[in-house]
Amino acid sequence: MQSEAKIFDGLGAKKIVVVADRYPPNAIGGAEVSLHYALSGAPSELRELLLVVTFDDKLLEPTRYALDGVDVLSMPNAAPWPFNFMSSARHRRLGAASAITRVRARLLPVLGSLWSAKILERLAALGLRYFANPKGGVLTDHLLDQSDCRYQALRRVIAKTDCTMVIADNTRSILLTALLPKNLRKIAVVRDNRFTCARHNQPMIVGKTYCDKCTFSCTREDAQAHVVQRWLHTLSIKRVAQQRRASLRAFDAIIVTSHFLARGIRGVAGENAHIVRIPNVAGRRSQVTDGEVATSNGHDDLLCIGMLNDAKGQYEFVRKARYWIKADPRRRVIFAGRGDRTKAAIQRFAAANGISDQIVFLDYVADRRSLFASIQRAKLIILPTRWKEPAGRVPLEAGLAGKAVVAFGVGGLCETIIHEKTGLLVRPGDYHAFLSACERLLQDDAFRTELGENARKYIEANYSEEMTSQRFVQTIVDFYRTPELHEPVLSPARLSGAGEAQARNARPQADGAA
Amino acid sequence: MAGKVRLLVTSVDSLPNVGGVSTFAFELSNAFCKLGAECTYIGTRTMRFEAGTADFRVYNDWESQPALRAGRGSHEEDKRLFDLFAGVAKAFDITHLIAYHPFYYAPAIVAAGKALGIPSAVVVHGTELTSQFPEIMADRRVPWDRDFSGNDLRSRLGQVVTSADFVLANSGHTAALVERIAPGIRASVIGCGISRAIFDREVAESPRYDAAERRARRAALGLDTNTTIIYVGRLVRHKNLEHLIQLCSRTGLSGIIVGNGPMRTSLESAARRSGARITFAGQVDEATKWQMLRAADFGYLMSIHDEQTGAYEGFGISLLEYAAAGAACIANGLYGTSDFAKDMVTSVGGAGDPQDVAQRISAVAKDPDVLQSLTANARSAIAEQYTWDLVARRVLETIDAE
Repeated sequence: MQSEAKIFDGLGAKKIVVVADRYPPNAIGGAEVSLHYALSGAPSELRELLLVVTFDDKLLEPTRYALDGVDVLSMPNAAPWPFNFMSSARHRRLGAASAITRVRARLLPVLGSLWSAKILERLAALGLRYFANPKGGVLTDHLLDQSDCRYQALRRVIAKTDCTMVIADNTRSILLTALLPKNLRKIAVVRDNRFTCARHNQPMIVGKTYCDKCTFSCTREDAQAHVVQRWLHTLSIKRVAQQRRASLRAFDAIIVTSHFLARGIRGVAGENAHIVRIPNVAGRRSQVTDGEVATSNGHDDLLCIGMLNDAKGQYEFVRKARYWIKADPRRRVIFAGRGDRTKAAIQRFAAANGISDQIVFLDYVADRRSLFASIQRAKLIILPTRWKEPAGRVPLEAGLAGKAVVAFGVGGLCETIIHEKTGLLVRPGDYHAFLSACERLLQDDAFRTELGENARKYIEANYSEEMTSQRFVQTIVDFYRTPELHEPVLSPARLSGAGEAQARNARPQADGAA
Repeated sequence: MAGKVRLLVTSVDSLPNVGGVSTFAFELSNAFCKLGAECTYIGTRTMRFEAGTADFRVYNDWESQPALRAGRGSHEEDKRLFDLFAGVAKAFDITHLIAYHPFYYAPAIVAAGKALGIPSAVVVHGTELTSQFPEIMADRRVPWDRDFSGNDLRSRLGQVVTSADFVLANSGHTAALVERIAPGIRASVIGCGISRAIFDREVAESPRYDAAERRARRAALGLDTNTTIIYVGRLVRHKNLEHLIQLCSRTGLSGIIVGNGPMRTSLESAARRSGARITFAGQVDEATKWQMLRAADFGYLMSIHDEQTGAYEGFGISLLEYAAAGAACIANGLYGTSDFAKDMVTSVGGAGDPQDVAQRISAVAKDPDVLQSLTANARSAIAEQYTWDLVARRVLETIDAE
């Protein structure tokens, strides 16, 4: 355990606090890796002004560490609502305490917290949670307030700094940071669909229909027990959506990682919001590999990277592809990602259909070099993603490894893959087309290699540090220096050549055509 | 232009939506490929072509939202489209950019062209211009508000036609409308077309006008054997189909109306009241349509301007189909139809008094030599100017890609 003096040492020099939902090395998902790449690449003068504050379920006390020159203060994460006034670790520890202690420490504060302006909403949430839990659980973002232990910790840290600006990376941090005093300048970094889709797993899809506009029709799927459950769930999810929108509006600028997100956030935050699109950085090859790794001998390996869940579509893919997989014993589908329920379902299905030997699970690959080696060994990267992927890091990694991707054309994936040039995008939900695309690339080595090479060039050119991290840092610096951010609109500014180009157009009308 | 031509074309309206723009986009893209150009066609998420029919590269914009073509959210959508087009243009080493319609995709196509130094062209069809600038149909120029800096559809249309390197119009009339919106901008007329293969097939099926043969075909289809005028298209106001019913009533000729639309019920009532012999065939498949065209003596297209919707005939592609099938065209020569319909050369009718028009058509119906002459002239015009390969060639010439 570090001493408090060591933890808070030198905080007075920090002028910018970055609040992150998670941060490496404890988490290496796309969001936190992208953030760390950006911050670690910042000039040292800027890094000295920065403090990353993150939260960890396992911690009982704060801990501070430096990673690639980035100063990180990791704080105990909050327990789930309604116990979020205490840390997750303390909540777990109390679970093992005596009954009287449990009642005194856990139940009484909960009852106390009910006595607030949001009492009806709290009762509704409790009723749902304990008597009619909808699919995906009860969302409680609208019940977040200053009693949350993360907020308390964050306030304490900020008070010890000379902070004038806070950057909130990802949804939970955005909701938390929105509660901070208005005198701080705030930048939100939006990386997912939670501000446009309040459903528990933010898929922007109900049944097989993608939601262009939210009508909360998902509650019909998620709360099927009875009318009261659906009513309460609809009420709750609407309040969550409102709260998220209101939180976002507390920010002076919003950074998004894809055009897809920018479009959605524009609809939520309004026409006057400062929205800047800065894509995720791909990273450098040297950060993830020591050299080329040969593809697996004798196998046609299709690698699917990402958490195993409904939204990512792995189970549905195996279900639809079972005959195709079975038709050629060389074909193997390899999953890299965690998700016990989906993994078990896939295993059961594979066993029942005689394809267990052709389904491989790498589970969560914590080391990026190992993950990258898996990418290099695969012939093809597949993304049978069903939800509207907000940005999608996998095509960046695949491109870095020189691998072509086959994906459904959803969300941000349409921006990181150029169809027929760096990969193949197929109609969302059209598994026949998806498998045809896989087949085409497996059979045509030259085309597959060409797409992979193109992908490498495209990703290196468009998702380089210069195009991404440096822009991210520059945006922070600009905003730190001046609260004004100007993102020129495309039209008519980019059409400013109006009226210049018509000389060529003065060609006589086609003979006889007029 | 030296080197391979690589086109990036876009259309907010594509097959399987049936319509003038979607057909234009599909046929022209295929024609570009037949001329040796490489063509990448970006369309909305609903775009789909029958297997094996597209010679071009099909690129669905899966995240398209055409509702964001103007107003709130459209700037954000412009940025997405700009990066999509710029990315594809760089990836496929595109040499020319074409927007087949001025809405939705066109502003970003023009902007991408300027940013990358690639010439951009936008095709205008007519109705979209008059829907936003109704004053231009009354032969007036846009007198005020020439500041196109707004974000409404009218302003964005103005930005596109004044910023694109080339404005391509489907007819001389549409080109004149562009001039009224933006004086000094001269749109090049590229015309419209039909497939060369279909044209050749129809000429082989009916080398000459033969009244008896057409009567026999009608009988085989179970249609009225009387001399017949056919209409193929949507049943909407500006198609002026009441006039067709009157014409049949006055001349005693029979009519076949192929297609559906909001006016069908009122037209059926009008036909009953007039006593004219009109058959409403409804929507038919492509093969049946051509069988019916081959069985008709005349084809009707006397569209007018519908002031409510701004709709009128931008070119009149059905005239080409009538003529290809060997039917004489009945046309008033108004608006976009004037390019093809030359009275008593390629068509009969004119824009005069309905009684006078009826008399002239009656006279022509009794004279097989005149009918043969009209269809032969019309077919010559098609062969010389109005097949998709010829239209494609004109486009390439206009944008300096040949």
